[in-house]
Amino acid sequence: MSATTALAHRFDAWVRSGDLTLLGLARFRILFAVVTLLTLPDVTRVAAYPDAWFAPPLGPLRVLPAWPPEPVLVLVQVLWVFALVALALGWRTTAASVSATVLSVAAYGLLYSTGKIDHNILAVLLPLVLAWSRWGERLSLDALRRSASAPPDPTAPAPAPPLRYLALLVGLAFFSAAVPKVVAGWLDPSSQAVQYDLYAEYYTHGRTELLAPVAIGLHSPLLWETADWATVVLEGGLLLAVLSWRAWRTGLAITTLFHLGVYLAMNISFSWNVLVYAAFVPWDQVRLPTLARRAPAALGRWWGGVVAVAVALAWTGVLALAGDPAWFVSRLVIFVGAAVAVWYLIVQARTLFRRPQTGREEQVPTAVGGAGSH
Amino acid sequence: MTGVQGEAALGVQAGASITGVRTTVLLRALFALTVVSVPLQLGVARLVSEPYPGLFLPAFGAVPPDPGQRVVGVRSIEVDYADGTQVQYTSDDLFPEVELEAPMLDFAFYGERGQDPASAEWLAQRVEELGDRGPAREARLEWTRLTYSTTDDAPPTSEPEKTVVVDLDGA
Repeated sequence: MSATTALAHRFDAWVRSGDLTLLGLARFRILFAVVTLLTLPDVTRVAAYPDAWFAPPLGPLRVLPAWPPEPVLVLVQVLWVFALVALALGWRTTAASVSATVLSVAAYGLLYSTGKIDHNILAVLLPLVLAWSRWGERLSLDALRRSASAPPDPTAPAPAPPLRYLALLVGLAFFSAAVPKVVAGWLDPSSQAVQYDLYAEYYTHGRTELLAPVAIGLHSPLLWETADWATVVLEGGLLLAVLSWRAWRTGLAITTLFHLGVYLAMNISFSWNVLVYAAFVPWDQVRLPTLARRAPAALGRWWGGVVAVAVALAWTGVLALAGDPAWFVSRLVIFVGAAVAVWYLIVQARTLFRRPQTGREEQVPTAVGGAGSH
Repeated sequence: MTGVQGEAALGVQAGASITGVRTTVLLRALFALTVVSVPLQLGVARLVSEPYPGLFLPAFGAVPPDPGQRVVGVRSIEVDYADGTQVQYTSDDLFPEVELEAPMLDFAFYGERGQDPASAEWLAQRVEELGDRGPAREARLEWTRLTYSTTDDAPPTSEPEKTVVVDLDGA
């Protein structure tokens, strides 16, 4: 066997190894769709902008000569919401997943046609990638339609390739952020790039909350140079972690804490990424109240409608509590994500100290407790 | 790991369509092409501009051209209304719907777009909504450079950068 063939076979085994179940992914599907719905921007706002402000980024939006008419924008917004509601309910899940990504690209493409691209591409691509993960085969209207002919197995594993591919996309995206930093001189000890950016965030963008006043008062070049190096090492190194599920989850846990630090010091929220990392959490191991576990079966065909009403009530509640659900939910994602990350790192650390290394990753407890394979 | 568990971990089960030879080849090609596309994307972003959609996260990129100093830009907007009053606004007042208001103000008014009659018309309508005091006559948008020391808490030095006057009377 040649080295190339051996490598290809190793890749084949690697790409198909994983420990997530269809139930866990289905829970994540609902979480992803609901959080995305609660943080959805309004694409119709560009209808008020003059055509002189239409400057789409390099890409498919450049076929448009000007802003689309307002009815078209309203249609995009309605279809976008519809696709995400269908995703939450698991109604024609594959089509809903693909539609969610296509409509996100269109809507965000329009919103980014005023000169600035917000980097939420991972959350935009996620539904398309997981469309082939069978994440709609549990806790879904699709499952209810099929259950008569094939009763669902709650422990059925999810296909690993879509998850591996999503991990690769995350790793490459971070790598694409690390390379320009190295080229720009972030590792040069004579200049402190993170501190440099902090000044713009604080004074130009008015990001002066939480720990930002403390951070702006820190003048130690050693501290800020360490921040430069840590950022580049984390962003560049995450790609290597793709090779092992345990390393990957550990890397994501550290990255989630990195996002929390960036939010506290610079008030930059990267909740989109944290939501994407949640795809790798084995949600099937989270113990839900008995009522929540049995609700889909008990409610039968009414399950979808009940979930829709629950989402609407939750939306109303968040609106009443926070005024701006997108702001509130995105911050909640960052803090809850950080809590899960700390929990996972503690579990990993305890495992390291308790048990001698056997070389068998699959014996290590997973992120949300219990023993499971990685 | 038992044989059944092993098959499950590999996604080999009834109904899974990811185990065939054709799928294996497709997976290899997909992963390889995705990896190869990243340097191409980075090249396009560097030579032309950042594409969308594209697999990018924030690069930030800039490092201090003059270590020990940081020049930041601040904006101020002053509007004269027809009733004789004068009101100061921020870019946040004009663009509350966007995440970063300052770059939006730059995009819309710092360059040639600021001279476009449609931009003036938009601004006239916006400040009329904000002011609740009838139509406005003129807006002065000022960009100022503030130079901070990054080694201590010394107050910044200030230097005017640009002023754009937008006639709102005929807008």
